[in-house]
Amino acid sequence: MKALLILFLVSGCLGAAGVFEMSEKELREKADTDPEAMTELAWRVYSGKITPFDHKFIFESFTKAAEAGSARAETGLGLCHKEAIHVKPSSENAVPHFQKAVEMGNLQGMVELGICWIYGDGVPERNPAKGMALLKRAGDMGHPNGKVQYANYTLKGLGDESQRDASLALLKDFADNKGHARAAFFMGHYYRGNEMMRGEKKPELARKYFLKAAEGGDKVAMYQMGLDEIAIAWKPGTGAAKQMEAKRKGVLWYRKAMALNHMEAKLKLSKVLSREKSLRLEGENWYAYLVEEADKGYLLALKDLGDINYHAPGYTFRDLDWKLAAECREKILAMSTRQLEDGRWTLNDEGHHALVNLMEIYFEGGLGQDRDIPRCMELAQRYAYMSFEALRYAGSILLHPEAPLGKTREHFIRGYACLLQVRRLSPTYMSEDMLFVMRSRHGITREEVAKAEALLARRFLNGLTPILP
Amino acid sequence: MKASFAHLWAALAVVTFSAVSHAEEEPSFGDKPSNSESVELARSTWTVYRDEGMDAALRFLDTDGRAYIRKSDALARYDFFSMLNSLALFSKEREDPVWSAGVVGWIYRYGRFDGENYWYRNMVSEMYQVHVSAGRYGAAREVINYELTRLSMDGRTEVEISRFKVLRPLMEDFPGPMLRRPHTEIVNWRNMDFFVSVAALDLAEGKWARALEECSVAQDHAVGNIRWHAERPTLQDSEAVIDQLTALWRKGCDVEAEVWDFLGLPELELRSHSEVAQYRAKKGWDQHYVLFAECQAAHLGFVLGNKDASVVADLNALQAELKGTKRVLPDDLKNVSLLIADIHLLSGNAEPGWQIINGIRKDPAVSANMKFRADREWCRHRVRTGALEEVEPTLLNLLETARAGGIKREEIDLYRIYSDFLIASGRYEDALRIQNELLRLLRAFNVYPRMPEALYGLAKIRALMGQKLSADEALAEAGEKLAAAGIPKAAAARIRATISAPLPAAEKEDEAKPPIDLQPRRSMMIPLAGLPSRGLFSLTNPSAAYGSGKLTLAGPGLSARHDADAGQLFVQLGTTGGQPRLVQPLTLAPGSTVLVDILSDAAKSDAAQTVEISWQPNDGGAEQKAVWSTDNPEAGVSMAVTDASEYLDNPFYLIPIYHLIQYQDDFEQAVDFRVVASQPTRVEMYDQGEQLVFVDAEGDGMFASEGDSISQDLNRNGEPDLRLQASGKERRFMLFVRPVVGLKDKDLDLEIQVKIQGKWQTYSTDRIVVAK
Repeated sequence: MKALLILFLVSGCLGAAGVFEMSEKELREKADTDPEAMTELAWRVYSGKITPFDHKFIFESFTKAAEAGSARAETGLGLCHKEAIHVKPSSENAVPHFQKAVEMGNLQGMVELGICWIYGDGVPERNPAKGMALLKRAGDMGHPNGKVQYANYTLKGLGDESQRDASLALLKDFADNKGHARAAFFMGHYYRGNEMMRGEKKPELARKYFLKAAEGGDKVAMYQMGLDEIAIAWKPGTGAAKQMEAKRKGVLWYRKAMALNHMEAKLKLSKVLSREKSLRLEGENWYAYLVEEADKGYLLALKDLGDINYHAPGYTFRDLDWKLAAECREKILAMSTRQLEDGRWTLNDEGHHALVNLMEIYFEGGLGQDRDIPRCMELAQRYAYMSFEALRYAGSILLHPEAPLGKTREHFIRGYACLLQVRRLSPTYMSEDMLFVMRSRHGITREEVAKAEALLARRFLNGLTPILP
Repeated sequence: MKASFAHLWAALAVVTFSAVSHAEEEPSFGDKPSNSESVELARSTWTVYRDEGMDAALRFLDTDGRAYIRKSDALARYDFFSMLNSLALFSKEREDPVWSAGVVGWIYRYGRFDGENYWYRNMVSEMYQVHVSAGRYGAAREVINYELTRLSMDGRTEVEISRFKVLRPLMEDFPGPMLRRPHTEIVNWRNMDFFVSVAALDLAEGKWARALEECSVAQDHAVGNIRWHAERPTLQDSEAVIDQLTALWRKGCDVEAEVWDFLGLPELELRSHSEVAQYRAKKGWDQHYVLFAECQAAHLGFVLGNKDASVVADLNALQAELKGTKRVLPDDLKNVSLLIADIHLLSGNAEPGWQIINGIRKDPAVSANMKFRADREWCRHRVRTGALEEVEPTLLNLLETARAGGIKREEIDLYRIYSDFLIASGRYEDALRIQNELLRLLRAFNVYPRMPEALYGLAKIRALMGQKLSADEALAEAGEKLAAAGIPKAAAARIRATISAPLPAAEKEDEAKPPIDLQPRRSMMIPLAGLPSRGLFSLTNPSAAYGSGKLTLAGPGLSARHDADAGQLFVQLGTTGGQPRLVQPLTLAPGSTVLVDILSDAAKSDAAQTVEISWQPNDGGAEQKAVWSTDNPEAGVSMAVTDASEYLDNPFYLIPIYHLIQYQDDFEQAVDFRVVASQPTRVEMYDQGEQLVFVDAEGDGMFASEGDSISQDLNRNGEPDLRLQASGKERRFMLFVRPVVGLKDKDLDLEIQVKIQGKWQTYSTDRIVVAK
């Protein structure tokens, strides 16, 4: 059985090999009849060897070729799903294609699938060992990416610890002698002092390798180069001319990475261009970049779109749209929350960031978004047990001078309990002075404070008990 | 004229906006064309106002405006508010104060109560200014405190200056105010703009040290961020942000200069104006502020003797330049004219000086503010040159205006001029009363740099009255205050020169002096169960001469201890070995008060007690009597204003009305207090440290009207309050009351009310009885 699989894998590779030597013209001529030619053409567009990056062409070519039996195309199709090429981003939808590619003997598919297992992307559960096994197998079967990725994750502590030095040597060899861009990228990280790799801090070497990787066509390295240049621009004390030069270089790298469908690079580019008019190409619409990615449902893009419509440095408040900001936050919240077995709701960090901003928008209202105290309270109620910002909003609503949700003594006691809990969790966030102000303003007596304390002692803010009386 | 300008503006706006308008298919951000419907609707509001008045305009905004907001997207809403804002504050229409205040108020209320956060925040400083301009300092405080609370509650912004980190003294040559830094980042520069409004209000309420510290935080923020943006000139917004931050810094300098003016330190005021004057803005927006600062600096240079009268030519040139700036207001130009007039008059060039001042005074189109200043300058120079006719009614009118305007600190300058006037008129008893009032205000606001000169003024009056001993005492105190003041050398030298001038010779030795006054005449105390009974009586010597006599107290088991330095006589009831009758000889220095503090231990407070008090002056004057009585303690009550008293009206001075609050609960809280008077009465309340708590111009218990101010609102709810500290069970406070039309036949009742869980309850009633 094992021998049979090896035979398939080898035949898969050999079947595709011929097309590697073909020119673009030849590939286009053969694409309609030869799935491997069609696949190679799509790969070249995907990897930036043929420009521009045509989402539709890549996706449709890989789909057709995959249907015609190309294992490489299955891998390509998986990447389309993973990287949102003409489809919504979905690792879950990518994995079956990688799986199928592996079954058909495609080693790149094996590498991609291995990485999915390592991170737990699109697979039932994270399984680094399984992922490493796939990488090793691909490497053992001679796939350079398999070797490089296996060495990378070994350095990051997932593989055989005794192989650390050999892994580093392999990466160095691939980067220095074999022109392997991804290996150069990993070397860059190593010399940047990557903690997981237990790397060294040699900034010059790091930069050299990142540059090598970026010039070798690695889009992530291009993105990294962009980040590094922009960081130079923002470094305190950098002169205006140097700042501008760094920004210009950064933008160039972002553009290169964006041309290869690097979403984060596109978002970063959008951010830089939003403030630096002079770096925009004629007719270039940085905001459209953001909207395009947000429309795909990318969380990062939704975050940036929400951010810019909430507060846009360099722009006036006239440009903002809090309604749109709230819509983005609500989407992020929906993507970031889940209900626990006991009925409570929990959030990850991204979701929490969205929650805090969303509560503020609903609490304050404005710039296109009507004040929505009931929704603010609903959110505060749901997450008050885990977020002192949610608690603070719950308290602020219940103790608000206009008492939007009721004005009984019980409202004040519960509101005070919320603020008291904020104070307990974060004294800098809720000063004793503010508690004094709120107590005094509402005439909250010693007995009522005792009641508030008793509520807290009974774990009233547990995410299930209603905060409102 | 206004209407045609307005129409032209609207037409231009529409043309401009349509010119840039174009269909866009792609999503875009920034530089969007204005929404012409929004602009038109806002313009229509002005038309409604012009044709039908402010009420109609507000109704229009409440109906059509709200309907439009509800149906509109973010941009259209913004443009509607923006246009309204522009019509109220920036375009020609802003010169109509009713319109401007009405629209600012509407936007503010919409923002605050309906939830339009940006416009609410934008309007806070404007709304504050609207209230201040109308003398509604209580309402201004409510606006500021609402925002202070909102910011404090956001958890990221710290706004209470006293909680900031203390780094070092703010200035090397002026100890006291400290340089502070917030513990958390104040991220939004708009909050800092608001911070300057807080500083201005604090100063208006006399809290000048806080004002200086708040200004320094705003200025530091401005300078730091200007630097940051200056290092990043290519950023899209750097230039605009630098302009905004420069304006913030300049506003801080303005408030700072006002503080120095208030403290009577022109040397430091000159420094603040000169700093602004150095900055010449590139564009027109701030230019007029800079030019005005330059004018102020030039004038102060003359006043301090650094420049001669030729500086008038500079001021004329600056005024001409100021006139050419687009944001200049008529009052700005007139203010410069007053500076020029001052220089003319001080340098002996009387005619043009009087011409300017009289021109402004007689101009029917001049603003009330400007009229006030011109009248004050007129009085000051008339008194200085000995031309006293018509001065007194003008001064009294100014004093009433200042009180109605709610700026307590304005009264200080007027008292000073009035005292000089009374001296020049030979009315030394009246001068003494006014000078003592001036000193009381200076103490209440801790304006210590002005104390030496005010004490010198007191010494002068006493000397004129032939009271050499007390005059020398006041002079010695002036010297001591100067030595202790810690003010910059140049200012100290100037003040030293003033107080070193020889005192005048006595002019009237035999003038009848007002008698020492015992108050209240009756006081009733009901202590809380378990707490002692206390009574506080005052013996005040309103004259310029020493007065002595015997204070006799009759009651069960009396013992007494006299603390002459503190001016207090402590009397205890029911002491073992105590006497049924106690006689305490007392000598009261001119202008001094001895407080008679009666205490009955809690253990002995459970029965009704009475103490009879009498004061018999040694000079054979009439005996004065008072009675203090207690009733059985009140049980089951956690807090009470435990005394009520009856006072006899005294025209010679403002009688302090003392009260005692007792509370059982050691739970720290700020409790809202107010006083409701039975007839229109100006009520001032002071905390036990003699810090001003509130001024209620009418005594109606409301603080939103003209002349009202709230200096202490610890729970930030727009009502004045007192802090009941956890460490104590008692707290005193003091009232000064002045009936608006004077007491005639009807006694004045004062209800002391406390707000308990949202409801006002009367805790005590005082009565001031008409003197027969």
